Amino acid sequence: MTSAATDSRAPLLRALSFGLVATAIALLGAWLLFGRGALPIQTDLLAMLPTTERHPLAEQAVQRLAHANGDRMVLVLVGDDDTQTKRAARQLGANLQRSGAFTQVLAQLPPFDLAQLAAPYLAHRFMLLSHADRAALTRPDYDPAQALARQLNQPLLGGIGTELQDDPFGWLQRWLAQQPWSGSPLLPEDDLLTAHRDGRTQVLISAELRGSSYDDGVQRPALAALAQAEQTLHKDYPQLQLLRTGAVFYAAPARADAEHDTHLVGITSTLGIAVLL
Amino acid sequence: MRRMRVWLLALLWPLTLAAQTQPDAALLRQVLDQLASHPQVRAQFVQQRDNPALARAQESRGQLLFVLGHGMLWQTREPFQESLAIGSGHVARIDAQGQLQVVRGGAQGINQVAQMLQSLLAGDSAQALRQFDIQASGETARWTLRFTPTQARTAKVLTSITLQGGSYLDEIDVRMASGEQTRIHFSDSRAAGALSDLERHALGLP
Repeated sequence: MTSAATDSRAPLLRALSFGLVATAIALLGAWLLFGRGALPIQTDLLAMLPTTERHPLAEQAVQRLAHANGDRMVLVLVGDDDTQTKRAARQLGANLQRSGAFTQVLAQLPPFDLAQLAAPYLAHRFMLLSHADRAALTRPDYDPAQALARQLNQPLLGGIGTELQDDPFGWLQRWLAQQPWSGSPLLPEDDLLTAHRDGRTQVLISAELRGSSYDDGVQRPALAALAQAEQTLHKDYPQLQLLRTGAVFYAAPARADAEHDTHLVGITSTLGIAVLL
Repeated sequence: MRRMRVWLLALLWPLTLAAQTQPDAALLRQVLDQLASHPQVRAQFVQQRDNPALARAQESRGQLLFVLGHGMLWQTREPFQESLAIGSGHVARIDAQGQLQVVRGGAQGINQVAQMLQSLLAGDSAQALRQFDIQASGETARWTLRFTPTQARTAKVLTSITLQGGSYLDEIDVRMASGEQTRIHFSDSRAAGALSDLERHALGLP
C-alpha cells in the first residue's frame, strides 16, 4: 500500500523538480540577458582585428591615431548671418563644454601663430618634395635658374608659410600644400574655423569624447549632452542648421541593433528549448 | 587692369554697404560703379618684388586679361615666358600645347587672393569687411583704397594691400609682415575686345 502510494507520487515529484529546474534556468537566462545592464558588445570592428604592426609601439601609435580621429564629434553650424552663426557656434561650444560629457570642446581657437605650422617640417624640408617637384628634378632639362625665377616672380604674392631664405624654390610650400589639411576650405576667422560657401557661413566645432566612441558609457552622456545643447540652439537660433559626423553617431545605433539582435536570438533560443523539453 | 577694377568693385561694395561708418562711402560707390562698367579688360603689367632675403628686387613684365566672373590670365613675358590662368580656387599653367596643368601649392597665396576676388565679384561684399578694414581716399579720377587685415592671424602674415586707380585699376601694392613688398603697375588698360580660343579655353569660357 505504502509502496503503491510512493510510486504514484514519484511522477508528480519528478514533474515538480523538472518545473523548478526549468524555471531556474529560464530565470538565469533572463538575468543573463536583461539583468546585468548593458551588454558587453564590441562594435568597434578595428578592435577585433589582429595586430598589424610588428612593433608594439607602432601598433599603439596606429591605435592612438585612429582614436584621435574617431573619438570625437565633428559639428558644423551653418547659417546665412555670419555674425549670428559665429555667436551661436561659441554658445554651442560653451554648452557642450559645460555638460561635462567631453574632455575638450574646440570652437574658439586658442592663440597660435600660422607661421609656426611649417616649423616642424623645416628641418626635414630637403626630403619633403611634392610628386611634381620630384619628377621635375629628375628630368634632364630641369633648369634651376628658371625654376627660381618663376618662384620669385609669382603673381600678386610671394610664398606664404615659409621664409624665402629657407625655401627659395618653394619645394616645402608645395609639399605642405599637397597635404590633406591644406585642402580644407576652413580658415581661422574671428578665432573660429570658418568656411563660406554659397553665401552661407559654416563654423566647425569639434568635441572630444571621454572615451571610445564604441563605449556605451561614453555614447549615452555625449549624445544626451548634444541633444540638450541642440535644443537650446534651435530655441535661440531656429534658422541655423547643425550638421554632424563622427563614429559615435554610427556606433550608438549599431550597438542598439546588436543588442536587439542578441535579445531576439536569446529569447527565441530559450523558447525553443522550452518547447523541445 | 580689369581685375584691379573688380578688386576695387568688390572692396568698394562692402564699403558702400557700410556707408554709415565710412565717411567716403560715396566715393567708394562711384569707384565701384566705374569699375563695374568694364567687364573685360586687357592691360600691360610690371611687377616688382622686394624681399629682405634678396640682394636686388625682382621684376617681371607681361600682359593681363581679366574677365569678370571667370578670373584672369596672367601672361609673363620677361624674364621668362609663362601663362597662368587664375580662376576661382585654382591656378593652372598653360603649356606650349595650350593644355592646362593645375598648379598645386606654390600658388597658394595667389589662389587665396583669386578666391577672395571671385567672391567679391559674385557680390559677397561681407567677406572683404570680415577680413579687412578698408580706407578710401581721393576722388573718382584718382582714388586709393587701403586694406588692412582685421584678423590677427592674417595680420601676422599680411600687413596691407593698397589699390590705386582712376577709370581702371592702375597699381597694387602688397606688403607682407616678413618685409616683402610686391608692387604691380598696370598700363595701357583697355576693353579686352574679342578673346582668342586659347584665352576662352584657359578661362573656361564657352
